Amino acid sequence: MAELVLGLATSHVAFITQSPEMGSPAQVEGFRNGYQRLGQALRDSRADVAVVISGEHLNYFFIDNMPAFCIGVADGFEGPTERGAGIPYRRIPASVELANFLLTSGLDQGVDWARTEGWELDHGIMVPLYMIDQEARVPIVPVFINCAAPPCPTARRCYAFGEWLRDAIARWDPSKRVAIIATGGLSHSVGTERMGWIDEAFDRKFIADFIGSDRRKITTLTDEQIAAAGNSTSEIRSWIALGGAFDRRPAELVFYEPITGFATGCGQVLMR
Amino acid sequence: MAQYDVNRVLFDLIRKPDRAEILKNLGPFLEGYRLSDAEKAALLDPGYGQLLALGALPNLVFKYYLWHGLPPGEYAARAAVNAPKSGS
Repeated sequence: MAELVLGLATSHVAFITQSPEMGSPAQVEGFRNGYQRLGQALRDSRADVAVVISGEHLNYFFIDNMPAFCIGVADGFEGPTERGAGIPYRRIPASVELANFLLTSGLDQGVDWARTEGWELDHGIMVPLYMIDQEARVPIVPVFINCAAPPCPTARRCYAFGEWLRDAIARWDPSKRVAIIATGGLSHSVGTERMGWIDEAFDRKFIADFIGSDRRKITTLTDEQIAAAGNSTSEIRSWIALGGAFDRRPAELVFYEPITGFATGCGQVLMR
Repeated sequence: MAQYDVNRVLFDLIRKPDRAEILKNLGPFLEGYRLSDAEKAALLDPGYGQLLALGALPNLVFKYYLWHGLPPGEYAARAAVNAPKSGS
């Protein structure tokens, strides 16, 4: 069976590359150092491929045809959609083999996938990948969870999706090493009158439950509780999915700060 | 639930290479969409809080705001005008 070697969770806020001066220098340095740790962990893991789970910001996926879960199937993906994100527009290699395996596995049992072969990735995936794997050495399989156009998959569903993903990866090529990277969150609001506000109490409680011994607590979060912490806090669904994939495996908090200048509670976690 | 046509306008503008020109004279562009009078007015004004109240998705409304060259730091105050209460 393929080995699930590493899980990384990180906020994907583009301020870190686009305009880092907006954040307090100490916090920004901590966030950057956290990214360096995540990048080193990815290198040390010798992962052959990384499944990257993220919401998206209505740049590609729209309500004319909005999937709950979508998998990208192609040999590479380009981005970011936002040309002003402070990183070069580039192509990331991708694993068609793993993508097709997960797609067909899910359609047999577990996930009624949508698939896309033409996804231009936005900052939600491209900024973290630039910070973690600037040379784009690790091919990816991008996975979308609808976080921006409610109703969205529930916390319980996202955790179960992560458990399914873990089991599906285990059935893949036994010679392969797979990492999962979840991006998004933590608490923030985009486009509402609360933009700029961070719910630090929510973030710290979520992180405590996420890295704690009873990770399943995060499945009890309701859509209303998540939304009350900011409309874009919805992105923690990718973290919740990672939590399901690494159910019972240890987790380490790498960084958390409410970075006011970034209008986001910024967190990073490492799981092995 | 989001209102389709007002969101469709905002989403379609993302990839318009002549977006800046379209925004200078938005009326003709809106003719191709089935919009209520209130939705048209909110887009033309533009009223960001009104757009949110009418079911425009926040991510798209914020993009619309930025396309008008306005400072990000002032968005919350402008969006608070006539906006629905978030998180309720």
